[in-house]
Amino acid sequence: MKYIIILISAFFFLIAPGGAADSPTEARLKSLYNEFRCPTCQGLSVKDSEAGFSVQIRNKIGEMVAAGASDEMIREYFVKRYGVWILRSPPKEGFNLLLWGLPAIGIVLGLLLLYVKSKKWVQKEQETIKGEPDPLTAEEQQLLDSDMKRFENS
Amino acid sequence: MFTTSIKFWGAVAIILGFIGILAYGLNKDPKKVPSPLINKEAADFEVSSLGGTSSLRLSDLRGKPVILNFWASWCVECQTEAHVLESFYQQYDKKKQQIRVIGIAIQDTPERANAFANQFGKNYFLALDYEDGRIALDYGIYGVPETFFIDARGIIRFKKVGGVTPQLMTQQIQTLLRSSATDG
Repeated sequence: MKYIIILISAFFFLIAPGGAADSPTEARLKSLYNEFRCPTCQGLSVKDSEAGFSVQIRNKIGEMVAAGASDEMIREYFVKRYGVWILRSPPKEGFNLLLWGLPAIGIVLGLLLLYVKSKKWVQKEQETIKGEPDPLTAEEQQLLDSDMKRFENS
Repeated sequence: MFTTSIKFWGAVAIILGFIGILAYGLNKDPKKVPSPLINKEAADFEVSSLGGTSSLRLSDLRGKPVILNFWASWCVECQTEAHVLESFYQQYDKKKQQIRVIGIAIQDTPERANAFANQFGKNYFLALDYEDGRIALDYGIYGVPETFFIDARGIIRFKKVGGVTPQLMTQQIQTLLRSSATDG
């Protein structure tokens, strides 16, 4: 029985996805594959595509990594031939910096707007509390008096 | 009242601006992104013809403009443009010897590429890309057909993504021949 449990455990360990961790080179390759756009697909990286062009790009990346090329050299190689379009994330330079910075600027401006508005709302509310309440009309006064009388008698 | 109106229309303008940018981005055909290879030297390569009877090195063709077409037997649009390239080959390459027309089949097999060439009457120099696709990669090919117009000095002057038309061929060949005459 003990041996059966060991065998079953070993089997599941072997077939478990991601059971074995990637080697540093494999992890680097996967990360690089993920950086490049599949030229013939819509919104897929070469990592997730089996199209002919993606396979060729993957092979070229593998070849360059094996030859000792740095990540930057690999990016440069493809950008030189395909243009910046081939990169899934635009480089953080020039006009592209605006694309990277815009969400952060939006968040900061939004928070600032929220702060200014909430401050105004609080101020307005406090002013309302501090101010003298409007005097009651004769009708309201009569209603209040009758309610008070009812309350006292109860 | 006036301030509210300004605020309202300001917000509307900002939202419309964002929608405009989004629409522009979504409608932009990535294949129309200008190639970074324009006005750059064409990558050199050496290939054997499909039949294996001759070989060619691109840099050996300096002095004559080159029309470099990437195609494949599985490409439908390549069928449509085949006769266009062939007719310009007959006129400017074979007859006048003013330009060279070269076809590189990518992601293909010699048998299928040959069958396609025979079926569609392609007589200009045809070769197969290497198995690792190095020529296609060097020319940043997105798909087929794609055609490069290279001047006599080996500089890429124009790239056409998709099938070529007689009008485009005439226009580009005239430009290349004019620049060759100026250089010469």
